[in-house]
Formats: sequence, C-alpha cells, structure tokens
Amino acid sequence: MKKLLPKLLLGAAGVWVGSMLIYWFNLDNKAIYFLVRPLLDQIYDHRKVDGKV
Amino acid sequence: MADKKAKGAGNRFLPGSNIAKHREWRGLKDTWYDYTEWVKVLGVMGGFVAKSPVRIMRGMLTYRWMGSYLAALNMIDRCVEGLRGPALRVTRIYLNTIMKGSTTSIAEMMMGDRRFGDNDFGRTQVVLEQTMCPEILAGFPNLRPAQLEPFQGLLLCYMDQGANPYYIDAMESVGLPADSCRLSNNAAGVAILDEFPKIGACCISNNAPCDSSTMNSQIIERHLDVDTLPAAIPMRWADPHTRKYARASLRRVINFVERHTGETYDWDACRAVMEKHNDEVRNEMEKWNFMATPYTAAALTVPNLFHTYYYAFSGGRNPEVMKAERKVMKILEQAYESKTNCFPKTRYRAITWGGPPCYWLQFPNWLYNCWGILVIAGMDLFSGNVLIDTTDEDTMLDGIARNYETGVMRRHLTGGWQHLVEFWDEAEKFHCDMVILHDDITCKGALGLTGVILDQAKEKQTKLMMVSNDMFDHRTVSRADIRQQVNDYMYSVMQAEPLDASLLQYDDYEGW
Amino acid sequence: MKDLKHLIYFENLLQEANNELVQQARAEGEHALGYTCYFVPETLLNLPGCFSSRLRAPNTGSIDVGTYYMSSKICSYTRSILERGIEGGYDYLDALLSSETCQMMHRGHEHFEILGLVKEKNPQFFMSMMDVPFSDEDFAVDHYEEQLRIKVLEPLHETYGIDISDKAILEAIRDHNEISRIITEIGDLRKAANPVITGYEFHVIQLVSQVCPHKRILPYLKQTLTELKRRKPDAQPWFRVRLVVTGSEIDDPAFTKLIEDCGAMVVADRYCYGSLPSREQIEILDGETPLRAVARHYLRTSQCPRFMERARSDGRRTYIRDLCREYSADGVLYEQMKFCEFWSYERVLGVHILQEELGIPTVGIEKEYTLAGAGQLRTRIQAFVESLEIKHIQGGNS
Repeated sequence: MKKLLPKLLLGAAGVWVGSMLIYWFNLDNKAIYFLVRPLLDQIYDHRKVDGKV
Repeated sequence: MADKKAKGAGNRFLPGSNIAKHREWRGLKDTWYDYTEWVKVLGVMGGFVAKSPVRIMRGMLTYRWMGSYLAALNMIDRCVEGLRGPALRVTRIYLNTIMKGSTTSIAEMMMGDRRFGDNDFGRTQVVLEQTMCPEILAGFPNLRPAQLEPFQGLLLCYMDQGANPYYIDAMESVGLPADSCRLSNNAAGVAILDEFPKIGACCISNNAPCDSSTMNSQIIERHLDVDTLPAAIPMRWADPHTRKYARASLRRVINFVERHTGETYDWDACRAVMEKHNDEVRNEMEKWNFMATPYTAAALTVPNLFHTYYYAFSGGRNPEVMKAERKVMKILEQAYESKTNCFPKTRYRAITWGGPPCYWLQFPNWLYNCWGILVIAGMDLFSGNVLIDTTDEDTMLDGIARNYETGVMRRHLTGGWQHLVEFWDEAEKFHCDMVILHDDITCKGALGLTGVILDQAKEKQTKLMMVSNDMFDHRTVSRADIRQQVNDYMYSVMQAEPLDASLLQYDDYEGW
Repeated sequence: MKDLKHLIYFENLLQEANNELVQQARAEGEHALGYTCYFVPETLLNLPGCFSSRLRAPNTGSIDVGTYYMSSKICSYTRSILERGIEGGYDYLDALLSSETCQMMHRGHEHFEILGLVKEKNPQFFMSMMDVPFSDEDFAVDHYEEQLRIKVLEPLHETYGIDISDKAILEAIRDHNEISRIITEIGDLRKAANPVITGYEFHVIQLVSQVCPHKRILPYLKQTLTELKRRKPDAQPWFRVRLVVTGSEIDDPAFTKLIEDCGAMVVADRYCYGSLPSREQIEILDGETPLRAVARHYLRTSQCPRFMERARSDGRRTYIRDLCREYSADGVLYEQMKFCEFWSYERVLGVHILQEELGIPTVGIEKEYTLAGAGQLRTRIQAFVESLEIKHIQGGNS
C-alpha cells in the first residue's frame, strides 16, 4: 500500500497536469476540429441516400 | 477589417477555423473554476456515451448531425467569452444543465432508434415535432417525449455553423426556393436525407410557429415510420373565441396517443407536472426582476437559451431545471445585495428581437466584448411563460394550449401585429436603451412589419439597430457580415469607439 | 372561333377593382365587402344589401411603398394589394374581411388597420380577422362556424344592419349556387376534345364572377353561356397539349394567355381565384343551419396546403390526378408565387408526387404577381409543351 499510494498520487497528478494542459491549450477542440471531424465527414460522405421528397 | 496590430481577445484565435489557440485567462480563481466546469462537462459527455455505447457510436457514424455535437465544448467556451465572477457561474450552471438534458435526450433517441434494432424502449417514446412542447404528454407518466427537429436543427446550428447548409442544400436541390425559412428548410432536408432517427410509437406534428413549419411537417411525415397527427392550434390565439377549438385539438392529440400506445391519460399526473411547470414559470418571472437591474449576473445569450431549453424539453418534467434555477437565483440575489457590477464593460443595455443568427449563438458575447453592448434579454425569453390553471381538465388543456400557442417564435409572429412590436415595452421594462432587431431575411411574419417598425422607431427614444441574418445559413449573411453591420451602426449612428478593436473583424467563416 | 360578345366588356371590368358594376352597386346603397382568401366565404359576403369584391391589383406598376412596409421578401401580390390600398384603390370598400391563413396576406391586411387605410374616406369601414382551423373534423367546423358568425356576420349586422338571419343566408346560398352552376357549366365545356372556349376566356369569366356584384354580372354570364353553347369550335383544336394549372394566387388572365400562346390549353384552373374549387354547389344537409352548411362546405372543399393532415395532403394530389382524367389533361403546371411559403413546399411535393409516384408529367414554376420575367416563363412552358408533345409522338413512353 505504501508503495502504491505514491504511484497513485503521481498518476493522479499526471492526469491533472495533462488535463490542465489539454484545457489550457484547447487540445480537445483542436483534435476534434482538425482530426476527428474530417475523418467522420469521410464516413458520412459514403452514406447512400435517395433524397426522395 | 480587423486592426491586426490591435491587442486584445481577437488575437487568441486561429484565422479561418477560429479555434482558440489557448483558453481564456480569467484570473486564477475564475480560470480554475472554468477548468473544473470543463472537467464536469467531460464527465457529462462520458456519462452520455456510457448510456448505450454501441448505439451511440452507431448513431455517431450514421448521422452527420450527430458528429457536429463534438463541437459542444467549443460552443460552451464561446458562450463564456469575457465572463467573470457571478456572470461566469450563472452561465456555466445553465450550460451544464443544458448539456445534461440534451445528451440524455440524444442518448434516449439512439436507445430507441429502430435502425439499430427494435426494442420496447422505443415504443415508450412519443415523437414531438419542431416547437411542440412536452406538456401535452404530462398525463402519460410512462411515455417519454422525444423532440425531433431541435436536435437536428436549432441545437445543431448552435454547435456548428457548417452543419445545416448540408441539409438546406438537399431541399434546395429538389426545388425549394432559397427564400424559404431556414429552420423548416433544414428539417425537411434532414427528412429527405433520411437522417431522422426511427423512433417512437407515434408522432405529434404541429402548425407552429409559421407557414413554413406547417408545410415542412408534411414532408417530414412522409419520412417517418410512425403515424402522425398535427396538433393544430389557433393562429389568433389572443381571441377568446378560439379556446374551445384549442382544447378540442389537444383532446384529439391525447386520444391519438392513447390509441397508439395503449396508455391512458392520467389527469392527476398531468396536474402534478403542471404544478412544476408553474414553478418554472414563476421562477422565470422572479428572475426578470434581477435582470432588470444594473447588478444582474444573468445576461447575454445563455439565459435566453436556457429558457428555450426548458420550454422545449422540460415542461415541468425535468427536475434539473429547478435545481439549476435555485443555484442561479442564489447567485443573482448575492450579486444584487452586494451591488456587484457583473458585466463591468457595459456601455449600452440592449434587448434583441426577431429570429436570430443561430449560427452565431455567441453574438451577444461579441457585442459585449467588442462594443460594450449588454444584451439583457431576447425575444425567446418571453415565449411560453403561461401559468397553467390546474383546477380541472379544461383549464389544464387551455393552459397547455396557450403555452404552446405562445411558444418560441409563435408568440410574437402570430395572432396579430401588436405581438411583434412588444419589444418596445420589454426594452423599457428591462431598462434597455437599445433594441437589436434580428432581420431574419426569410421570416415572412416579421418582414411583413418592417416599415411599421421603422416608422415606430422614428418616434421612440430607444435606438433601433437592424441586423440581417439568414438564421441557419451562414453563407448568405456571414458572421463577418453581421459584425460589419454592427460596426457600421456603432461608428456612424452611435459615434462610438470599440472596447476591443481586435474583435472588430476576423476570419471565422470555416469555423464551427 | 368567333369572339365572345362580352369578352371585351369583361376584360374592361378587370382593369380596376372599383369597376363599373361595383360603382353601380355602391351608388344604389349596397355595401362593398373586400376579401382575398377562399376561407372568407364569398357566399356570406353576398347577403342581401352587400356584395363581395375579391381584391386584385390590376395594372400594378411600382410597389415601392408596399415594399417599404413589407420588405422586398414578401410576395408581390401582398405588396401590390397594400400599395393599391395606400393609393386609395380600395376606398370604395365598406369592410375588409380577412383571415390569418397565410402570414403574408395576413400582415398585408393588418396594414389596413395600422395605417388607417380606407377609414379616412369611409369612417364606417372596418377590418375583421378570422381564425381558420387547420383541420376539417367536426370540432373544427364548429370553430369555423363560430368565427364566421363573430368575425363576419355580426360586425356586418352591427355596422350596416345587414340581415344575417338563416333566411338571408339561405338566399345568399341560392345566389352562390346559381352563379356557380353557370360558371361550372361554362367550365365543363373545357372537357371537350375540341372545346368552344379557351382557358383564357374562362379565366376572365371566372374572375369577373368574383370581382363584380353577383346580381349585376349574372345576366352577362347567362348570355355568355347561351352564346358558348351555340359557338362553333375551330375545325382543328388550336392547342398542342392540355394542362391543369394549379398553384397559389393567380388573378391575371395574361398568365393564362401566356401559357396558351405556348400552345397549351389551360383546361382546369385549380388555384386561388380559380374555379376548382369555388364554384361547387353548397348543399344543406339534414339538420344543418345554412351557416353550418357554408362553414362545412368551405372547409371541406378547400385545397389549401395549410391542411397538413396526411389525408388532406394526399387528397390534394389525387384531386389533381382526377382533374387530369376528367379534363383529359396531358400534364400539370404547378405555379408558386415567389416567396409564398405554403406553395413553395406544395410545389416541391406536388411536382415530385405527380411526376414520380402518379406518373403525370408536371412542371413547377415560380413567378411574381405581375408578369415580370415573362420571357423566362415562356421558355420554360414552351419546353414543357414540347416535352409533352414528344411523349405523344412516342406513345407516352418517354
């Protein structure tokens, strides 16, 4: 337990620092805008529709 | 164009995409608060996916509109631009509640979507089209309202200005003129591209708010796999002779739902929900008292948005609404008591009216940060707000009908010209010295009174700024065009100088 | 074919709203009641002592003032009516009866109240606005009947002392049925393989029956019917194809003439101001009051797109299909007044369903109130006529 606690604390600190970095540098939105959405658009563009009224 | 040398908030964004290079520094306390709220939103999104991971993933890969919801975090950031202290907190509380409610609704939509497999859950849903408010289902405690158009239209546009033109173009490609209302056009486009989920036991369509929505319902109905009945309520809603017909229309809807679901309308359950609806309305009215003061912590776009949200999605059924309102009221009271100026950049107080540019939800934030124009209230805030008399079945039906007749957009665009020009009185009540009239270039009900409004403006002390938009289509009147209209007005009519010249003009055409 | 004796007279009557027969009726103390929409029953505006005047704005030029008040994105028909109203072209009216059925016309009529139009010339003038239901179920007929009583009949009685008793309404129904019988008989002549009437002539006749006091135009219509029964058609039909025209407001016979100049006879007129529907007999069912019969008749015969229930929506397409069969039409022209929300969707739906699902050749067009852009319209209609001819040549298989 004594050995695990520092690791957990370190891990939590890492997550915290990481999330702060993502938050501050807006990495979440950048990733979605520049990476995820273009990939999704490719999938949507392959969807077949008849477009009938 | 923007003064590129000017230092200010405008330099925080990447040109074109308008994605922020980094988040806003609000001082240690407020930045930390914003960070914690951001983490909470991530939690909400995680909870959303956890509700039904496979179906939600399939939905994400099937529906183009759903992909745009990934921009939710960005939308939230933009809504809190320039906010500090109590104003930031009020906005964040509302946005979190909207996020929770919206993600729950979308998750339920996917859970009931027959495209991904039929199940019992889907048959407990009743599809409500466009601005049909959920109060009518209050007497069916076992049934869930599933709003159809807002998620594929209005909310979508708030997230991603590039999303709706895809659906708009689909309708125009089959011959619908480009002058048709974008909101209805968009929904019809979603229908013909087969992007509405296959949900529910039946659908209640409606004739609100206007002619185009009456017509697009007829296209949407052809693409649903369930029976549809229009809840056709009176146009001349202020006429007391319309009440009997309004009640009869809603009774017909209840019978229709009973027939399609096997459920029986429970008037006691209806009464209980209506009481909660009334709590929401009473709270709203009380909140307006604070908003009318210089110490309000509730202003800009989000209080309006929250009102629209609970009007369309709660109707007394969602306890989260009052939970959020209680927190907000506490902040409003504290700010008022301590005489805190929550929006210190304010130089003008404004009310907005008419169909807004939905592709620029944060237009009021820009007005505030660039020009010091504080938008206190918008037209949608005055929609619904009907205290429902719960004495008996007739009074409840009457109240539900009235709430629906006076719903979003319909309240001011139908039933007589006097309703549209109520903004002069509302501006006075909220101590506004400016009216920003959203000139939605496809809204016939509002355009039809253009000259009358201009004539009235000549006789009033309140300044009137008309700003054109194309509601869901940023290609016709872009955000930059909107900014230019405001800039021109502020320089030439108000003889004002901007608070932040870096925001005057920038490139966000390709952005969300 | 030999010219119709009264055609030029009829054409002249259409040159202004306050025409010769309207003036005669006014001079003799009859009250002129203006309206534009089918949901304001013409029948009730022809009670003893008053007459209906369906508003048009013939020879419209500039509509700048109408555009100032309503913006350039409102249908030009509405703006033209408002412009004409501001100019004083409807100062002969004693009342304007209206309904909130289409947003634009509703707004247009509201300006009569806001700007005090007509009132200056005629202080007793009033404008009344009805609520019209979106359904034709019994409860909706109840509502419509009540609205007719409160918004049309009672103000007429209170302001002008008009008799609104059952007996008077019965008389108005008889008047409606008589003029409708004559118009229908004339209209039915279009069903012949080689008709003795053109679509243009019929359009003119139908319009004068709507814009003139019934009692004064009736003798001319009767004479025209007799004349038509004796009229000899040309040896060969003058047209190349037969069309059903459907759509929104069309009150300009020049539009029908334009279509016919392209070689297509307009055999059926299913549009606002047309005769299908509007010239059907009003029947009084057992136990019905005359007012109830009027309410039921107008609500259930209307082909307005605002009826959004599926049965009514589908019914509008089958109605057109049936007209095609009855009048041996080769195709359908769906017209839409520019900026009209109802008919923009209806045109899209109608063209698609008729063409794709019912197999009826159909073309959709968008037009202004005046025949601006007639060249473009002519080109489109000519192309459609040619495509129908090719179908004929190929045995209808293309």
